[in-house]
Amino acid sequence: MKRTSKLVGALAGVTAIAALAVGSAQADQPFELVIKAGPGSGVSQLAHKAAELLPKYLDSDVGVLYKKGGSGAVAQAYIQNRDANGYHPFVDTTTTAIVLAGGKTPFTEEDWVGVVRMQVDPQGIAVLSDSPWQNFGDLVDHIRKNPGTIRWTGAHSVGMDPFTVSKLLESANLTQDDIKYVPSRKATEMKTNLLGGHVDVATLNPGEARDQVEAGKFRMLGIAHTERIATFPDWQTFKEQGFDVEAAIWRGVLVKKGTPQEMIDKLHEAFLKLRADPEFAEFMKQQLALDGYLGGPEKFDAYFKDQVKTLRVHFAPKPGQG
Amino acid sequence: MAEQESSDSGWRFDVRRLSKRGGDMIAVAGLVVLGVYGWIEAGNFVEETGMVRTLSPAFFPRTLLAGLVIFALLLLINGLVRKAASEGQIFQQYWYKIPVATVIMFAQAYLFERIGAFPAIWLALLLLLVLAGVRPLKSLLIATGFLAFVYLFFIVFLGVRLPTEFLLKF
Amino acid sequence: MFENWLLGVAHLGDWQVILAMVFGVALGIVVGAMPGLSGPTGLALMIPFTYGLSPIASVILLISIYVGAEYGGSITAITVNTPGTPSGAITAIDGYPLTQQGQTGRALSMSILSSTSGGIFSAIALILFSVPLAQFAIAFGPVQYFALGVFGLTIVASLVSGNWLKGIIAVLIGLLIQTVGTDPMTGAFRYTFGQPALWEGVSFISAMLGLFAISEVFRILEVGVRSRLEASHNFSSERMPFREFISYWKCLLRSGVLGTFIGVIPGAGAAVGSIVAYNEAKRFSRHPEKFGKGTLEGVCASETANNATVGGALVPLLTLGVPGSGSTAVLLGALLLHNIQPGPLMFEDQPDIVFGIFTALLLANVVMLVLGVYGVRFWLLVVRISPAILAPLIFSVAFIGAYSTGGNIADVAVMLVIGLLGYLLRKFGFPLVPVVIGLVLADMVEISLRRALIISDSGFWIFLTDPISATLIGLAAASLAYSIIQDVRGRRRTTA
Repeated sequence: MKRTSKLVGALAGVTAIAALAVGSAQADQPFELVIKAGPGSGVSQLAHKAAELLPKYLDSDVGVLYKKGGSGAVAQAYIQNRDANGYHPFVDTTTTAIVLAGGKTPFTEEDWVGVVRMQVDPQGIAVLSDSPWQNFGDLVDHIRKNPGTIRWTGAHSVGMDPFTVSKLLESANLTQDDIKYVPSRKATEMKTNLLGGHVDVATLNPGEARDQVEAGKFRMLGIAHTERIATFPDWQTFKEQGFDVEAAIWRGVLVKKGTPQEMIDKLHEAFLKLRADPEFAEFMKQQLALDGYLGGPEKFDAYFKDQVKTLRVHFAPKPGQG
Repeated sequence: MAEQESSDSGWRFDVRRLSKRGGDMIAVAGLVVLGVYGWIEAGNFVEETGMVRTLSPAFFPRTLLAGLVIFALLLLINGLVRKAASEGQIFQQYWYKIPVATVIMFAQAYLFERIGAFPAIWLALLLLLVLAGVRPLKSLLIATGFLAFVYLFFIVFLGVRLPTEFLLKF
Repeated sequence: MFENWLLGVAHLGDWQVILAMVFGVALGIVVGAMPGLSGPTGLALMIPFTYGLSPIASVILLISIYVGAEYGGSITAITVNTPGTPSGAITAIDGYPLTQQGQTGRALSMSILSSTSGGIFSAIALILFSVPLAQFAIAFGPVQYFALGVFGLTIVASLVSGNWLKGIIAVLIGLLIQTVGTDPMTGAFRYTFGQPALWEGVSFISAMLGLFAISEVFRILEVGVRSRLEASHNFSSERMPFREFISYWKCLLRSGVLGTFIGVIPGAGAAVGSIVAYNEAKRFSRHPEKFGKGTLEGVCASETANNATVGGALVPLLTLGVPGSGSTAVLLGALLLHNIQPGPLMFEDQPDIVFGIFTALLLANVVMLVLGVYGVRFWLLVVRISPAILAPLIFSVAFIGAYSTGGNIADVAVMLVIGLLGYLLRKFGFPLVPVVIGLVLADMVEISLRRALIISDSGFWIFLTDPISATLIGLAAASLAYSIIQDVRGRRRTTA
């Protein structure tokens, strides 16, 4: 009696596993949107929204797969170790361009093909609204008269924020030694420190600064974009102030090199339909993200590769700096 | 293992004889080794300052490591001065289950992406249950039932993604 | 403020949020009642599975677990003299004798009613004080945050365990674990040993699961199955009339105030709250001789105070982003994962989250009241699952949790290594809570130190010339000195 029940149990176990295994193997190949960041990040919100709305445009299941680690190296390796069939699109951001330019991962921009750029988030700088500076020119004058006193914060010491800051200084014929650059970890930290008067200038995107600007606490001295943005038409661009700097965070989709062109077109087509979806438009509005569509896949691909090359020149050790 | 140092009864090795004071001594030794190793390793940090002019990356870890060694040595002195407070044993009856369980756990991690999530979870859970003293038949039922729970709750309800490519990469 | 309340309350119209609250409180009660498992373990196990939920639902789920766990400990303390939480041990002093006298029902009613009162009292205190405090918190820049970090870590090290030396070493170990990875200031790799998996440092979830869940699995395995609860008593189900409960109002108020204040102090968690409130209740009681032999006053003091520490502990967490206990440390990690950064700005930018937390805290206590009054028998059944079965299941859930956060098997390996480390630390008498707090505060302490030095024109002196910073560092030094003096005195007494 006891032995039979043991046998039955064992049989049940084996059958259950076999059934589950077969069941999962027979499922249609779903699309896996691979992201390198954690839940809650901007790119993860984009990926989840896409996964929710894309199935009707792709006629197949779409899931989100977190592959964190190594500043995206783990996610890159995961996709590069799979067939170039387009079923593992890399939903990603500017940081990958920075990581590729830094040369710390075994991959280069040539291992990837750009499909579509979905969002763009221009860089900007904000000060307290009771500060004497009305535009970026005023700030530059102040820095020139009092070198080494302005405390200017941005996210991290390597990445898009320091890149923007150094480009802005360069455009005004200033150097990094003329300010005190204070690295922060995230926008909240920068905003808290700016509000408390612990720093003088913060590098913020429109979406990050919106609440405080609307509450009359911050003033945007400029945004590093080609043109003014529709939601805040009174924010001047750096360009119109005479400082030729453009810098933006983007979020878009990449696939492994060698993916068939018809698959790239299919994905591009689906993301275009997603862009037109009213629910997605609502999501973009909530995030205060700007539409980043550049044109066909080849446009984004060229943009992406160009950006990596520009950043690589910027990050390369300059002679005499050790 | 380091436990041998403190067993004062010669050749018969039994982890359970380790006293609390002996444990403190081992901890001190481990902390000092960690401190010295960490200090040396911190010399290899490559500085990529970017835009920042501040303390080197090695400063903070080295401060912590120095503190670790100082307080570990204080613990050593404390142990030598106060003998009465450190009686009693550290490890209990089934201590040998710990290394066995560790091996099973790492085996599940090794197999997880190779034979698939379900077989790996099932196998490790079954072995751990038996190790914990649950009867084999009961273990079998619990392990199998847990798979159903994983499938229904984690995969279907919560949408957690697990490697389900069964035996594909072995 | 009123519209913020509306925003917060609006969240509760969502069925997901209500479900999260009920499930959270229930899970918290079970976790609290199970000997060995405690609030932080339950929280750590659940974090990975909150990803599918909205941020507000996740936060409410986790806070509900925290609330439930502080009460759950009393159930097993009273019925079988096996407290599930450290503060439950204080409840057991009088709770179990009451059971032996056949008054289980009255003791359990007292426990749930006073837990609820303590919880609601401290929630109201939190709501009243945190909004003005958050305004003040803007004054905290890098200099003050560094001092605050040092203050918090020192208090935790000297208060949590009886042994300040081991407490400090534990804090240092926690801080050191976080130096693994990319240096947040310069981008240099530290202790990564050429492993890309370590570039981003030790994953917080892996560390929490390792320290709390895996080390617990090892402990259960080592002790063996015999620790199974044998609840053989036939409980009297006689409840306490509400009018009688109200007559304890002095004890409730006193313990509520004490618990809330003690909760605010970093390192002094529910257990300290219970002990202090119990001693004070005894001092003020008309029948101090009854304490320890079964008096409802003892249960009232201990249970009111430990639930009151919840609201107190949330004050520094929400206004400054600084946790003071194991549970709040795990909670902070969870909030950060959902891109919610507690601190003064949260009150401005995400008032819906703040007021959602306030509303949820009040409601979770009501849910707890209902589940506690009507569910005691059920919780006792659940708690009787043999630890031998429980331990392997905890491991499996922790494994899936660690893997699913990043889809990276290296995170699982890190969890196992830290689990072994946590087990050994426990065995060698090092407390784990300081490790966790060190781990959570490490980034803040290091970054504010280096950032303060960039801003400072006088180097390290800035920490002593700034009034807030100087006060905090002075208090830290004083608390350390106090521990050392106590230690030396204790030594003289034993040698004399």
